[in-house]
Amino acid sequence: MYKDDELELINKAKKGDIRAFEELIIGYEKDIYNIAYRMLGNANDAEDVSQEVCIKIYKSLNIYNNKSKLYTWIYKITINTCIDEIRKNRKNIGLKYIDENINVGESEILQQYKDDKELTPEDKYIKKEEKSDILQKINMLDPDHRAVIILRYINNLEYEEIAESLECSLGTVKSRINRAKKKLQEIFNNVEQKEKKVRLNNKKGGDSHESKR
Amino acid sequence: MNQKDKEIYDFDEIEKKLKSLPEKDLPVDFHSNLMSKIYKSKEEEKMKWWDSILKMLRPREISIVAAVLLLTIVVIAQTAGVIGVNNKNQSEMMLGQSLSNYDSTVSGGMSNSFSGDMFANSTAVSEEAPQAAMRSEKKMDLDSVMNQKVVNPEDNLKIIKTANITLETLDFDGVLQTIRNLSKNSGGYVENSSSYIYESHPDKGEYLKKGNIKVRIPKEQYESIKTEVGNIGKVISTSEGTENVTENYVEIESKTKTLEIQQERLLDIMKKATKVEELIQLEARLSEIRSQLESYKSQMKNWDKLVAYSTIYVDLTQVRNLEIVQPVDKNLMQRIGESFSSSINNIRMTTEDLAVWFAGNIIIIIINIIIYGALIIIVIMGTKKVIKMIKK
Repeated sequence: MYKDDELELINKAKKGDIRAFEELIIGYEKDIYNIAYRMLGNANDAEDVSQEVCIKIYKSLNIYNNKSKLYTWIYKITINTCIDEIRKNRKNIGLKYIDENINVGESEILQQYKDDKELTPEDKYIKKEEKSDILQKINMLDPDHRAVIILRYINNLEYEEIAESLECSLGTVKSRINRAKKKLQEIFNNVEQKEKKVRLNNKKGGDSHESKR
Repeated sequence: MNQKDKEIYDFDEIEKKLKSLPEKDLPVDFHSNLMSKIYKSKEEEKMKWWDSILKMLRPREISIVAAVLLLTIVVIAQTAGVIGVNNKNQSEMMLGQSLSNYDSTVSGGMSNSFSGDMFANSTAVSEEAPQAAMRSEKKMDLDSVMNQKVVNPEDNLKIIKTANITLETLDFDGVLQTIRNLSKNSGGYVENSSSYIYESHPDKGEYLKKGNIKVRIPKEQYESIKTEVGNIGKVISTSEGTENVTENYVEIESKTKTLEIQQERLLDIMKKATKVEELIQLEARLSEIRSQLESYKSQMKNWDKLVAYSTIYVDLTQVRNLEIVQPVDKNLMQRIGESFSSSINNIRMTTEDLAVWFAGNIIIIIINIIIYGALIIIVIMGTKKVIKMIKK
């Protein structure tokens, strides 16, 4: 259930040992940040919310009973905080993904360099566009559906673990995942249809312009 | 438009796309910012706790609590028969076995605390210097026993402690040597010292000296050594300062960890790099990170050293032993003076006894306060309700 020495760290952190908490949270920071990024669709908001989540974890570690898995408990806090943030703002902050080019730290550049060093500039552009496109489509879902899709298909959680993370029954998780899958499929296909139409219209416009000449 | 046109994607394809999404790296300062926030939130929580207590204790509530406290003390004191009786043994019994043993062992001159009573012990200084080291050992033994039982909340904090003590003494060289021995025996060291003659009478063979000494003491021994130093001469002034560097320390430590991770990552990338240009760029970044790491680590080492040892500055002045000429007959003013000082002494002793008794009964007093406080609150609320009902 726990990683090495995790239980000892939890117990120390519960007693207020900040160092133990630091050791504990360092392994989950990236997961929390990535879930928040997928949920909110904006790196700045994701950073703020992830930090808020980590502080919430620190403050409420006392009420964590060691029965459930720590990561499902952490995901629960993360998802709930993200949903609260989305509802608080009452706007779909996830549709932008404007930070992709703006807020890139050195590590991100190096990571891209590491992953993409074999790709041509054109391939790199296509890959980046694809990534942004998928994230935009995920963000067209309701927050609840977004959460189950992220936990199931990006974080690879089992149904039981998702039920634990979202504090709902297994049946609810299954039906929510089915509905989310259908909606995501619709979104992918609708967007594709629209893009096709736009491409066709552009082509027709271009042809008629040339024939007039 | 047929069905095939509509369903361009099946979910397996979408699932593959979702799983191919790369993980996003954390922002560079994420961890260090987080730790700073957590540290601040801990501090704020402490402040909130105090605020809530202060809010509870409004002037009216304070006066009620004070009245109840006073009443309780008077009632308990009367039943215990403590007030008005200068029975020191009785109050010592209440302090507990270990403390009374300690008091009896060192009662030869240890009655003054560090902040203590300057009047009582101002002249009998030089004789005590050789015994100071022995007392120090006994006191340190007691402290070590007590430290084993009590976990100090300051242990997790990085606090640099400094004390300044100004002493007057008859035996300048003896006191200086005692301070040296104290620091040496406690595992500390003398950082610097200086002395000079400020007044000389060669005809009488009298040379009065002034000087100072700066000692670094292991933080565990700081309190005991400070008390000891305060006891080997007449204390003219004392001051104490602390600098809490925990927040800065945690921040630098987090930054160091982040830089070490970056360094490892860069080294991994370097292994896979093929072009000279890339290697040069990576090498430049690596050297930047290394120099930053070195600077952070040396800062942390410096803090560790400062925290591990506390500093005590002692300013020493040698004074002349003045002989007091006593008149043969006591005049009226002297008698009044003696009588007055005797009554002051009585009051002081009674107050001391009361303080000792209070320390011994603090738990009972607290329990009483809680019970009486609860009763008073219930009575007040009940009275208010009754008044409201009557008004209606």
